[in-house]
Amino acid sequence: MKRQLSPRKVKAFHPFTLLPFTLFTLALAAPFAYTVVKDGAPESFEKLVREAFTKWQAVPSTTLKIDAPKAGTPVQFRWGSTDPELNPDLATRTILETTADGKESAVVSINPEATDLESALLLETGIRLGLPLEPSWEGKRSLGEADITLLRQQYAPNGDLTADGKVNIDDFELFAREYGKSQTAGGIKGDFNGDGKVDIADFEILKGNYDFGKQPGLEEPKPAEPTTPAPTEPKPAPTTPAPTTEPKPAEPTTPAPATPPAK
Amino acid sequence: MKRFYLFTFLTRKMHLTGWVAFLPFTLFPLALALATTYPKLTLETQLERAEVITRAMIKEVKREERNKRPWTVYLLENKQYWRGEGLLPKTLETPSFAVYGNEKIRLEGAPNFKVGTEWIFLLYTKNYDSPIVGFNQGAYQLEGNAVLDVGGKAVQLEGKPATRVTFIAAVEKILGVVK
Repeated sequence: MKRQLSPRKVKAFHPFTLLPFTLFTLALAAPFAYTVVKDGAPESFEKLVREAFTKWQAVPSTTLKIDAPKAGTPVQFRWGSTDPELNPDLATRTILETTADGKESAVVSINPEATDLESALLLETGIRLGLPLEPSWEGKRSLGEADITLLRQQYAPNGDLTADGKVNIDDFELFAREYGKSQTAGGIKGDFNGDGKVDIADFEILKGNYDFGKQPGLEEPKPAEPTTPAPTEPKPAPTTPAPTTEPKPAEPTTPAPATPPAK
Repeated sequence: MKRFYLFTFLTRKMHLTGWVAFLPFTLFPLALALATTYPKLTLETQLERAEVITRAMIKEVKREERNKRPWTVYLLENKQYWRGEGLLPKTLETPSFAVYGNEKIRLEGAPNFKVGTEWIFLLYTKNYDSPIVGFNQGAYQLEGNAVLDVGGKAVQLEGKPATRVTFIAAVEKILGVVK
């Protein structure tokens, strides 16, 4: 027998019903942590790294939390390196090491000779947060709209991986691709509770916020701004409630031409 | 008998928790955002900085430990030198260069060259983590008539994809200027 979702179950997972649970889970989200090793570094080094992270954290509508620098975290920032020596054209270099227990740690070495340290640190911190950024740049690198969208997708509030303001099948598809992944040396898409892995706990968050009221690919068109006064004639009220699971017929997307085309 | 449409069923009727059953089939290999950062260098700057400029085939790839550090050594079969002949270190009597890392310790964004591929390399002679000029920018693969960067993207010259002939001509033209 085919199992179907009963209307009662749909109601049980309404976002508002699960809001306290969601807020509780988000409150538990582990912040992104890093270490700044001060050996041989100028006084300003820690401040520079913190400022770069702060730029990302200042982006609104994300779940990103960044801890103050503390020792023992898997992402470490260092000033320069002689073992092995840095390629002189590098701005930052990251070496990833997998430990015996399968955990990853990242050592980011900053090239003291880099001419544009601010751009390099912005890019490197973004990459450490798990964003798929182009590692090279021309001119000055600053935080752009594309970066903000990537950050919102990575640190999606309440499961909104597409950063479009709603949680639906598109978000679920992205989440399914990330499911099972884990990463300790950076952020990971779909890890809504920030515990370093994409698992059932994250799925619960997505589920708690899933918009069951809308059908995939059949978003209700927004009503156009009225240009003429609204009609005074009231619309007839429906005698029976409209089914919530059935899609509404789509509005025509291309308006009919007002005048026939010239011959 | 009712027809069964999987996608419609998944998207409209099935309870969301039921989708969990499908998750194991959708797992993708772990693809981390890996990178080491560097400013872009023009071909002119790369050629200016290079101590060795050579066209070579990758003859062999070896893993080596040097001072308890892992290195990947690329042995070359040099076809042509524009600069620095004899300056590359030798491994098994063959000119070579080494890039830091192995399977467990990875230098993010480091190039990975395959045996039998042909490249134009712009190299430093010092033992850097990557001796390639611009970290990985100064390596151009010659594949048939095409010229590709380490990421496999077609190299552009004056807005058009470079060919083996036009790229070598451009290198030689620039070298004529900066020599």
